[in-house]
This record gives sequence, C-alpha cells and structure tokens, in this order.
Amino acid sequence: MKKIVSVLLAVLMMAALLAGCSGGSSSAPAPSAGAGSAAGAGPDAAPSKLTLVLRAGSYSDVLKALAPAFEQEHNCTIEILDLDFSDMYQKIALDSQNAQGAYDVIMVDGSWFTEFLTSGVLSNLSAMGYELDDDFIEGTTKGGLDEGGDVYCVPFFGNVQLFYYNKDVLAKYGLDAPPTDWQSVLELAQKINADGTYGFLARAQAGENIVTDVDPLVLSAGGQILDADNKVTIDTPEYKQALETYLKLIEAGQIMNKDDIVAAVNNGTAAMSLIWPGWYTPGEGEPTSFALMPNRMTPDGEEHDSAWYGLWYLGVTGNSQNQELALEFIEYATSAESEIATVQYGLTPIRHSPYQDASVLAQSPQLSIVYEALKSGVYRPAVPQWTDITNTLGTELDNAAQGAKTVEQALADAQSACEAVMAR
Amino acid sequence: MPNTATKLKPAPRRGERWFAHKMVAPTVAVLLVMSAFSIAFTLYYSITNYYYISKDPAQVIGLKNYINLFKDPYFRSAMWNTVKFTLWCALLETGLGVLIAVFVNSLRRGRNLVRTLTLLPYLLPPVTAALIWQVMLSNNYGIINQLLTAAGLPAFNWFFDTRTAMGVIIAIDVWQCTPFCFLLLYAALQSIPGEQYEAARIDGTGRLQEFFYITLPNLKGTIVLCLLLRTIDSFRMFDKINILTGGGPANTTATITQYIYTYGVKSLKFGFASAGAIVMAVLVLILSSFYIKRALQS
Repeated sequence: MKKIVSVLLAVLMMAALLAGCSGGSSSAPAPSAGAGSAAGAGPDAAPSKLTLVLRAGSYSDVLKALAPAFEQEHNCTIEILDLDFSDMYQKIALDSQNAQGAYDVIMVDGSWFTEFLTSGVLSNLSAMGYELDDDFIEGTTKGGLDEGGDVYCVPFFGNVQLFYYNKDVLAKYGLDAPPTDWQSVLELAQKINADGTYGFLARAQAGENIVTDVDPLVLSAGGQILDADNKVTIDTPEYKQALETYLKLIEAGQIMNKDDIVAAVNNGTAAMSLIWPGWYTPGEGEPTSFALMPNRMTPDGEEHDSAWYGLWYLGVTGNSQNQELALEFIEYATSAESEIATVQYGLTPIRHSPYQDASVLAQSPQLSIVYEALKSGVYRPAVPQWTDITNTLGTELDNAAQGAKTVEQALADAQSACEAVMAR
Repeated sequence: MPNTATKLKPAPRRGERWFAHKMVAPTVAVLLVMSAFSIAFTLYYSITNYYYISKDPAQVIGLKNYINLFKDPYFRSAMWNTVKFTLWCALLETGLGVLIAVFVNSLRRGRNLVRTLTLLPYLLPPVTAALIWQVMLSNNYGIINQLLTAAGLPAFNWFFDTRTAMGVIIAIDVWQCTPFCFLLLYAALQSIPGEQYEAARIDGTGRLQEFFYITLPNLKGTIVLCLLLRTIDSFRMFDKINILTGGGPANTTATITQYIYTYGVKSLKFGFASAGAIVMAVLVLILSSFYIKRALQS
C-alpha cells in the first residue's frame, strides 16, 4: 500500500511539474496568438492588433498621439512598446527569428538598417505596393532602400546632429551665434571655461556616444571612418586632428550624459555642446538654440558636410502577422498631415511640406535650422558590421579621452581592430 | 556486548532507497532541464560562430572563441576588474554587516526602528538604487557635488573619472547589499548563548575582548556564508555597472559580465558570448568551491 501511494505521489508530482511548464507557456501573454487571430479579419471579426516597437521619448509620443484615430478607422488595437536604443535592437533582432513575430511596426535606426536588411528582419514594402513620394527630403530616403531601390523602411523622424548653445552665455562674449569652424569653437570654449562656465560638454562615453561626438570633427577635417570601398581610414592625419581637437574641447568643459548636457546648457552652466533634436528642441523664449554643425576645422579651411544623420525609420517586420495593416499605419504616420499634426508632440518632420507650413514654424522656430541640416546630412557607413565597429572604435576613443592611451596609440589600435572586424 | 551509543544505523532497505529516489526525481528533473540542459547548450554554442540573426547556420569553430577571449586585453582587464570588485564588495559588506549587527544588537531602545531602516536599501530593486545614485552624483545638479562645493571641497565627475568610477560603484553596491549581510548576522547573533557573555563579564573581560573571543567565533559560520553569497553575487553583477558607466571610463569598471554584454550579447554574437559565460561560470565555481569546502569542514 505504501509503495502504491509513494508511486502515485511521485507520478502526481511529475505530472504537476510538466503541466506547470506547458501551462506556463500557453497561459503567458502570446503576442503571436493575438496577431494570428487578427490577420485578414472580416467586418464582424475581433479587432486586429498591431504591436509597435518604438524608441521611448518624443519618438513614441508622436505615434501614441496618432494611434487612436487609426485604431478607430481600421477597427484595430495598437499596443506600443517603449524601449531604449539597445533594448529595441535586441528585442527586434531576437523576435526576427521566430516564425510568427510578436511585432508588426518597428522603428529602425539608420545604423541598423544594413544589418537588418541582410538578415531578413524587414519586409520589402515596394513588393507590397508602397512608393515614396517627392515630398520626402532628398537624401533621407536613401537609408531605407536596398541596392535595387526597393523600399524597406520609410523615413519617420528627422534626427540629425546639430550644435546646441546657450544664447545668453554667448551674448556675454559678443556673439549671437556660435562659430562655424572648430578652431574658433575651441578658442571660445577655452575662454568661457577660464571664466568659470563649462565651455563645451561632451558625451565621450565608450561606444556609439563618443563615435558620434567625434565624427563631426572628423568629417570637418575631411576624414571618415570607412572610405567609399569600406576600407578602414581611422589612423589618418585627419582623424588625429579631429580627435586632438575633441580632447581639447573636453578639457575646456566636461563629460556628461545626455540629460545632464541638455540641462546644463539650458541653465547656463555650460555654453555649447552637440545635440540630436530627438533629445530636446528649444521652444520660443528659451535661452538655448540650435545651430548648424561647424563644417571646417579652421576659419579658412575647406568646408565639408559634417552632421551625421540619426534618422529613424518605420518598417514592417518580415514575420509580422499583419503586414498589410502595418504598412497602412506607416503610410498614415508618415503622411504630411500627420507630421504637421504631431510637431507639437516633438516630431522633427522629414518632409518638405511641414517646414513650409507657417503654423509648424510658429510652434517650433528651431525647426528651420533642422530643415537646413537635414538637407546636407551625412549617412553613417552602411555596413552590417557597424555595431561591432562602434563598440571597437568607441572603446579606443574612450581610452584616448581618459588618457589611458595616447591619441596615436588609440587610433593605431582602433585601425587594426576595426580592420579585423571588417575582415570577418 | 556492543555499546548501543556506537551501534551503527542499519543500511536502508532496497524499498526505502527506491522511495528516496522517487521523492527527489522531480527536483532532479527540474535541475536537468533548467541547469544541465542550459549549460550543455551554452557549452555547445561556445565552440561555434553563432550569430543570432545570420542566415547562415552556426558552424563549429573549436576553441577559437576562447582563444580570442583570452587574447583580448580588454577581457583580461575585465577579469581583473571583476576580482577587484568582488573582493572589495564581499569584504566590505560582510565586515560592515558584522559591525552594524553588533551595534543594533547592543541597542536597548529603538532596536526595531533601526533594524527596519537599515534594511531599506536592500529592499530597492538594483535598477532603482542605481538611478537614485545617478541623480545624486550627477555632475550637473547632484546633491553630493552641491554639498561638497558648499563645504569648500572639490566636486568630482564621479562616473566619468577613472579615479572615482570603480570606487563609486563599489560604494553603491556596499550601501545596497550590506543590509543583507546584516540580516544574516543579526539573526546569528540571537543564537549566541547569553551565558557566554555573562561568564566572560564575571571573568572581567572588556567589550573588545567579548567581540573577538565570543562574538566572532560564534559568527564564523555565518560570516563564511555571507562571504560566499556576496562573492557569488558581486562576481555576477551587471545592472549597476551597465546603467551607471557601461563599463567605462576607459574600461575601468568593465567586469566580465559587462564585457560579455558589450562584445557578445549586444552585437548578437552568441557564440562568443557563450564562451565568456562558460569562463565566468568556471571562475565562480572555483571561488565558491573554496568557501563551500571550508564551510563543510567547519
């Protein structure tokens, strides 16, 4: 009897264990189940569900504002996931390998596009009948196209590097706008710093942060990270000049994270920095302003386009269960009407027509500067190894910024390490 | 006639042994699925070039990931940072835990209140604790720098200065995790017989002698346990470093987990990340086996 009871007990425990495991997987929220039931729903069927993966901040605020009208018109529900940069990349990449995706519409950073394109993460929107129109700012659409010109991602948020400064601090030095060359920026920063205010703020943290900080100077010096043949060109006189100037700018200021940078320049603790409009756009009457990125190293130096694009695109995942509906949402969200309506939520438009709308510029006069920057922005290298390149190069630039390596050693090490990355 | 006190316990019968096996079977099944299976797969991936979103299937590349790992000076530096971080945190948290437990135990009034307040940092999620300190130590508007400046002392760029970054992270971890050690040690203090202290006082011993000759020997087992648990936890720490410094400045706060995340997980190179994870698991096993052996012996 004892044996029978003990055997039964053991079997029950095993059964409970197995039931718990399988029960957990089926009772947990199943995005694919919801999405599967939404595909091709008829008029009397349950509402379809779209899942959007968005960068937290003004980027997602814009789409949250647009979602209710779309939900009503298309009898669907929209679920929005707000994530930070790294989390977005990981979640999108991890979900891309599932047969049935959990996500439908994704925000895609320009630097991820090539990697996602070659890995089949994105749907071909041209094959679904989508066409770009002429209202998109020239140059901004290129980052969402494959080599054959098919559209995989539609430009959504016009992020481009800008110069950010405190008008009141510069006014004390007789300036109503910052200099347009880096040597003059450095001299001004040093003067301001000597008087007790940070002259220039840098992010200077390893990875994408410091790479994007340094690159406007590199471009202004006529250099680049990869040449037209994707050969590494880091250990060059141009990059060295740019990095040395950047290190002197740090000495004339401080290293801070992005939130502190925005606050410090805004409250006059610091004079100048670099910024992305997605972080913050000054409103009317505020002490801060945007300016175009300085585009030469010296007052009489050669001019180069020097502001990197940080454009955000919208794409449909390759394994979405609602591809048609997702494309309709993208068309709606990137229309001129939607852009004009959502400037108030922090959108930086990517079409010409919003910038020609008086009401838009009245809301945010700084957008006129953004518009000029978007017309001359520079794309980051479009290589699948870009994440590795930024990790590797960012580490060496951080070493140089902290004095752990000399500029020459850091650039030489970055050159050889990035060559190894590109050779994989 | 055999002494019943030394009479050996009879060996379990076959039926009893079978019953015991059946009772532990569910636990063994869970361990096999959750631990052994996962470790086996991680070991397999560590000898491949598994890149998660690649269309090409993963290929076995032997020990190349491990060779690249140990050839990378940043990994070696991460290992050294991990050892430094672990030693400082484990020793400081256990040491302070002992002192705070003894102090709280000595209070005649307000003991419950002080005990509750002491535990508060440990109740916070690690991410919350990191964000609180990030705001307090902000170079722009942080309260710590404002107090230092008001006192005429130099302010620091705490998270972006190679001289201070590691020390600050250690301090934050000690602030948050010392209450855990305090809790274990305080509980252990309650089990020390009061007669030992009474006898010692009769013999004329002072407080310090009581601490070294009665309190510490009685707490030895719990101290070893605290050291073991804090060593394992500190070795694996990731959240505070990732949020506050990302491994910088200049890799001075990069630990093994941060290295694995930056160069493996973040870029979806799961083969390489698996190799780093196996190396880390081996190091943790080596460290903890030393403590476990000592604990079992004592």
